[in-house]
Amino acid sequence: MANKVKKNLKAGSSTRSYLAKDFESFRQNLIEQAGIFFPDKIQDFSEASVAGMLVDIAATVADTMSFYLDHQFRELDPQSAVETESVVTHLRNAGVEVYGAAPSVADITVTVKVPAVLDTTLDKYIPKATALPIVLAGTTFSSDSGIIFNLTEDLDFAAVDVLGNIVPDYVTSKTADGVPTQMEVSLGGVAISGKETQQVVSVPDTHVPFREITLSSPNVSEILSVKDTDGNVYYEVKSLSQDTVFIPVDNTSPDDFDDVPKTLEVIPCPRRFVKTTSLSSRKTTLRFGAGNESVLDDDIIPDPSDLSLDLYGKKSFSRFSIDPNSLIGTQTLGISPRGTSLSILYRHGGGLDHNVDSKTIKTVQTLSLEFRKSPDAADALAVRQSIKVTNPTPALGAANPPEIEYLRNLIQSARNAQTRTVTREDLLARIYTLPARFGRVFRVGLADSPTNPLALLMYVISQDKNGNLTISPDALKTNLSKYLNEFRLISDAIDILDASVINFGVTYEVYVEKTANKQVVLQNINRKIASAFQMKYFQIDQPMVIDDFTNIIINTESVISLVDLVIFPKHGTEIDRQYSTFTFPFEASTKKGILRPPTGGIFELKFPEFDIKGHAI
Amino acid sequence: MSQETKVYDFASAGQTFDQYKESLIASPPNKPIGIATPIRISSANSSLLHMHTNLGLQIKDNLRNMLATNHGERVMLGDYGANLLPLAYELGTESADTAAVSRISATVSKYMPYVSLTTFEPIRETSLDGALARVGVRVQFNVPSLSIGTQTVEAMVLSLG
Repeated sequence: MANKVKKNLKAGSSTRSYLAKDFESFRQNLIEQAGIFFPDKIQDFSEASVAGMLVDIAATVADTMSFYLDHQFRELDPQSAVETESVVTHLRNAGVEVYGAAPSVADITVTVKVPAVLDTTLDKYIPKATALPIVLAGTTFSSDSGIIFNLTEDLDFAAVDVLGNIVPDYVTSKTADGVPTQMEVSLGGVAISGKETQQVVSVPDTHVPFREITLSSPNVSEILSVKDTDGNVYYEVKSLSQDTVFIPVDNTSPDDFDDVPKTLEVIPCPRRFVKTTSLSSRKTTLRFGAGNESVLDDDIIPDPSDLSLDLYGKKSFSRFSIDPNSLIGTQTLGISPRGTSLSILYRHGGGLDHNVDSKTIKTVQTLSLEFRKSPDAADALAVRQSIKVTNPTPALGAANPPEIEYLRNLIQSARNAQTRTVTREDLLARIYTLPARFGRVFRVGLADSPTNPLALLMYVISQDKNGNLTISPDALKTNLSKYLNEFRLISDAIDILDASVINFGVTYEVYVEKTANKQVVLQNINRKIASAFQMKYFQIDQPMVIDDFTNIIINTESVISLVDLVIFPKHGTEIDRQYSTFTFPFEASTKKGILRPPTGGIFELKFPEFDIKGHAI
Repeated sequence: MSQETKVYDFASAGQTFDQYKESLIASPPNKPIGIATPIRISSANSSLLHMHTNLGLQIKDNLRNMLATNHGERVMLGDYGANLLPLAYELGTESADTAAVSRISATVSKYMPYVSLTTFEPIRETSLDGALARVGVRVQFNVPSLSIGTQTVEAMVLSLG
């Protein structure tokens, strides 16, 4: 008998395939198994029999379990997950932010009329300084279709440059007997669509770690501020472990406040929150930290002695484990508000209908305005009543809420993104994403440090208002330093240096067809060279290929041959043209037809109309 | 050179005594076929539940259960059963009886195709006060392939207590 059972078991194990995935195959497997193990106990497994019914029940359970097992595996992969909650989890893990309808951004021009006064020094009429207002951020405008736009930054009509001249453009709007009485002063700004709402939330006096507050309006595009009744500010962070934030501070340096209006400061933020948006309702939830405000624990970083190993009376210690959760008891993940009221100001709304046409934003909805100096009441009233707005170009950027499939496709690319700079590409991307109000870097060049193997030399250069290369302001470099310091690896070092601008000129001699107009041919060549060597095509450390000039010249119509071509450095001052002070020997640095700049150098054809000279024979 | 050899006759070939004895054990005369209903504990030691050892009784049992089953009652086999409950109150009328015959015929041909149905008879029992008490069907059948002659099976469709 025992041999028979062994024989049956052997036969059964050889026929067991584990490939059954559906009801029918499970049922068939079970009947086969029963036939092998219990041939003398039961034979009727037809659908009509009781045994058949029991087998059906077992197969149904197996089929259901198999389905859910497959389902669970599918949910582990962001591409095959179908449950909304699973997709949201994948999005959160990958760092993809779920958001609602996106608002649009419009370039607007605000115009005010102010009285004209005669400047005796300049002997011309200028806007009356005391009547020049500051239109404050938060002023709202509306389009013809009723979309609300919010001014994002103050428009200072009274701003003056280092020479004391009024920065905004102004034109005489009205004359009486040839004497200007009013000036129209215009200033451009940026407005973003959406409605600003202030929601006040009363928070009970109980400690709730990771307290969550859901905002009442969907499609929140920006949390503008979160303050409690004591005036404490809560900052938005990417994750609650991020304990510092960047804040812009007015640049007071007279040397570079024109180019860099704000300096970057890094401040600790014990009160902070993260923002999540529901994929189904598109409502935004703020999640605060776990720290208890009422407990006497004001450490931003926990006291190491609280976590250190007790060594009293011991001469040695073994490896030990640390529970990271012990950090949660401190305020390291931020303070959870209690016993207060939170005032949350946010902007919400968006969608494709927010992309309004040009010249449709014409109405001032709510005006926030102040004067730097004290104007006459009549002037102030007249200025308030004179404000006009328009958008010269269409508003762009608005979009409907992204579909789940769109967000799912972002996961793969988001996995490649990271919040630290490891590769050179990371560093370059980080530099170019520095917000413009902290200064704009035009080009960045990276080179290995000759003295420190862990350091990089970072050459930066900016552009002036004419589009010419100029040394980056110190404030910009300071901002860059603070900004990059938050993302660099602890062992990395970056030396920020000014790139060397290498101005150059071109002279050439060509032999042209006898029937051709020599002046026209030379103008064509000059125009093509100037176009091909525009500043936008140059990078730091980028070499110049001499044959690129040759190619342009000989491919110009009516040119028969290139007789002579010289590329030469230009520096210092020529008449009223100011070139770079940096120069280096071009001929010695040209090898195999390629002119290479020194490390950190960038070529610039600064004055094409003067720096390209040709001769036709 | 002489060689003594033994010659075997194929006519004497067959089973050895041990083989014959084992074949008797392996093929008991009353081998269980299926579970008998209503399910009950077996008094015999050979199995836990009472089992049918007669194929005809097993088929009759299965057919009765199928007649008493309605659609949707069987897991994963939604169309299993004669589905007579919706016709219970009308059984006895010509239209309901025709429908019942059609339904029984359909399910038998799908799930017990070896059964040949012969007659159908509705059963309506009333209580002493004349109210409807039980509704059922009586079906005669045979199984030609197994040489099982005419059998009668009764299945209760509705019992009102």
